[in-house]
Amino acid sequence: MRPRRIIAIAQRDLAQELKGRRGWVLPAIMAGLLLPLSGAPVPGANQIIQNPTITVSGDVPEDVLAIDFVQEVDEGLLSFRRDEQGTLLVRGMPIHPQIRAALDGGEPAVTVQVARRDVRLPNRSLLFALISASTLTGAVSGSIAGERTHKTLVALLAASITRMELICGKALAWGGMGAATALLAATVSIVLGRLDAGWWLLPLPTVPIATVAVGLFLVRRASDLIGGTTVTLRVLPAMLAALGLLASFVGTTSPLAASAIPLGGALMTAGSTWGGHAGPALLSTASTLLTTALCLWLTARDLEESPGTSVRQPWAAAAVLLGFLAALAWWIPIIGPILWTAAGNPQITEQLPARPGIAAGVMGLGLMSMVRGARARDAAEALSFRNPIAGTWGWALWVGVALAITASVSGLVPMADDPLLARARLRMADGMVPVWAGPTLMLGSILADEFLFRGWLQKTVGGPTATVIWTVVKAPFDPIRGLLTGGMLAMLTHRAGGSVLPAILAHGIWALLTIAVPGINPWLALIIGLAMVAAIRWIPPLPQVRTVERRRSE
Amino acid sequence: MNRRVALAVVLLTATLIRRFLREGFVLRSLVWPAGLAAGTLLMTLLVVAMVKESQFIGVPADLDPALVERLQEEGWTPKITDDLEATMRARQSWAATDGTVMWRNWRPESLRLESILRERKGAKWRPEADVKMPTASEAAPQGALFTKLVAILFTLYGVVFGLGMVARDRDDGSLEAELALPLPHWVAGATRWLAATSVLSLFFSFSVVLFDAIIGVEQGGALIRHGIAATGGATALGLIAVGKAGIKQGFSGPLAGGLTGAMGVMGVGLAMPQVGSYLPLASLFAGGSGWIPVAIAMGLGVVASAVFSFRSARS
Repeated sequence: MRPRRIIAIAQRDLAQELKGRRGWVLPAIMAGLLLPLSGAPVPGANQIIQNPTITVSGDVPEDVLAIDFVQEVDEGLLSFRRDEQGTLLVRGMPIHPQIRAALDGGEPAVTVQVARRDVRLPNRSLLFALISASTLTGAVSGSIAGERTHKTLVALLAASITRMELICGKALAWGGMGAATALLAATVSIVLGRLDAGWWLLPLPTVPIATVAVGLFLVRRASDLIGGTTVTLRVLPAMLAALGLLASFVGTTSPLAASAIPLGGALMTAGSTWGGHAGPALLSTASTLLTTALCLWLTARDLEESPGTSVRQPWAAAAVLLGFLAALAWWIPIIGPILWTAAGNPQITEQLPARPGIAAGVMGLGLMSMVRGARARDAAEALSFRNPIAGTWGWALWVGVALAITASVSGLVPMADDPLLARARLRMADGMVPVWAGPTLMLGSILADEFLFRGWLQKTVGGPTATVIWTVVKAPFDPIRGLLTGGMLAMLTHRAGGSVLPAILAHGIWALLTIAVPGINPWLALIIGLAMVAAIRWIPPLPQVRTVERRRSE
Repeated sequence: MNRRVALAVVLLTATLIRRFLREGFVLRSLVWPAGLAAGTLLMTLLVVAMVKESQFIGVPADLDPALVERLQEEGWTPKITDDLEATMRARQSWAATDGTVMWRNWRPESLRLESILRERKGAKWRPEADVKMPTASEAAPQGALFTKLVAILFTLYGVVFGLGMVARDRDDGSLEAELALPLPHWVAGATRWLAATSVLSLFFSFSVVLFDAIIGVEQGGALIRHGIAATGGATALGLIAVGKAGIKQGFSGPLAGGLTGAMGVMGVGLAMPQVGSYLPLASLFAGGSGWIPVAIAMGLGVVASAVFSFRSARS
């Protein structure tokens, strides 16, 4: 590590970003945000919460109405009524201590105490660290991704500096700028008497430095500015907030343990949350600087001229990943609302309409296919959107009818005893062929399902695996129906030479006939379904079809 | 606009959309806000559902057996402890009582416990035992609030996309190649605005529909329109702000300026809702049907394309 080279890289980065008139924009924005914050008087909590008005309604006792912040309205936050025995019932929470005292009349039958942990709030210096770190998003994302876009990374990597020196130089430029800005804001605040100097000054500059290091690590493989900026924009604030909250939570038990949390501990200690003790300040500084060093080392280790082409995943890994994503896309909107019931509020589950769930699920699965199409050289080919082998349109009609009449095969799998699981199964069954949601959503559902499961997945991981994934995603509580429907559609696609079009037609017929076809014996439905799968697989094409195909191939 | 230019706009827009969808970083960014927010909500519900199962109430060893039985009837599990308050502070129970004094946290069930204790003491008042849970229509404003927070992020993406598409393409030389095509220069700006607005609008709409499914969103249709206006307006802002930015000219200044400007316009919606309801970005917090902001955002797209051809497309 040669300091002069690191400084040279830092100077180069700063000179590039801050040159000319435009170069003043970033410092001006940082100053514009931080200076008022460091100098302005901040009202205390008592000044902010002035005159809390509590509205009351019903049979309100005079003693309660006499309280100065109580206001009687038609429908209040607290409502009062009397039961048959004449006991006063109060509805609404929380009940203010003064209202309790008025109701008790000086003789409380039950004394209520709120037992909670002391929550200590950070002071304004936390914002110095946060703002100085967050305004550097653009600079950090452009630091590596921009070099890559502009082809200057090649020259830098070929120069007589190590990768570590290069990354340290970039971190020094922006981390140094953030640290200097945060310390400047702190100095202004101390000089104006808003804050007292203390140990919090030690971890303060480490927050922007570590944020820059983490940012560089996040964008080390970004190929351009947009990719780099979106990743820092979404991850850095969430990471800072999450680590800060975690440190705040842990700090209620042990400030020392909380200060060991990288970044979060430094953030909270910079806000002097746990008093001006040396221990948390030293520990948080050390843990954050260690994290900084680790991120810089990892970034230097992974830094390459090109972000690297993606290695082709083995099909099993691809199947698991795709299945997982598709399951999330479908399950969250379809059965997610049931969690309200599990959490103790069944009326939200009852009242939420099911149609948006289907719409979100269809959009989720559709977006997966769309992305796949966009990423392929030939979108139509990637999604198997091509002419089928002659003779498969007829099979599509038969499969559509078979899909409709075998719906009663669900009866072979008994309903779960748990009411939540039973409800989840019903919702999944409703989502399988959502004719009730209207023609647009039904059509969207058909296209999303077929392009994803038969068009893309079947081609990627094979028919059997695609059918299993279809079952897991669309019918996890009714696996026989899932396997049977998926099997018929997969076999039809296979027979059509990989074209998804007959499966779309069959799915459409299935939807049209769902309302009209009566239920049959579940075992008969299973036999019909299996017979259809066998027939598609083993009945040979008619002689004239073979002739057409031969001519087409010639 | 002749047929050749119209076709070029369509094809170039489709190409830019495809480029967005091919970029893993961008794609993850578009899915991230909805995924994170929806996932957090559902995980919270799951945790609440699991925590509900542990219903410990701290009680002293000599508590009246009738009261112990009453607590058990409610589905709570009395747990004998020496220091009731310490048990509460250590979060080993959600409430504690010796029959006369009760320690509680903020759980709604604490009112039920208090009601039982007061009833046993023959108090002249007690809280209503049944806890009112919010209905779907009462939860819908919260859904709208979540979605507006997601919209803020998409708006910031709009600025990044508007700025980044130009800066990136200028740096890698593809903008120069595009400007060499026999097409008016505004086409390069307009297609970038159209592509970014389309992609952001699509994924934002998905976020709204997803939230509508799991919590309900008040005036979801209007919120989608406000979101489309906000992303369109923000992309236009980015295109206007970019100027000559790139690696050579510096990117962080225009970006910080664009992001601050976008947040400032959003602030107008909070500070002056009457004005804000007509402005893209600001209308997110000002309300209204959203049609006028959409129209203004489209106008801004035209302005941004013109500014782009004047400021950015010149060598």
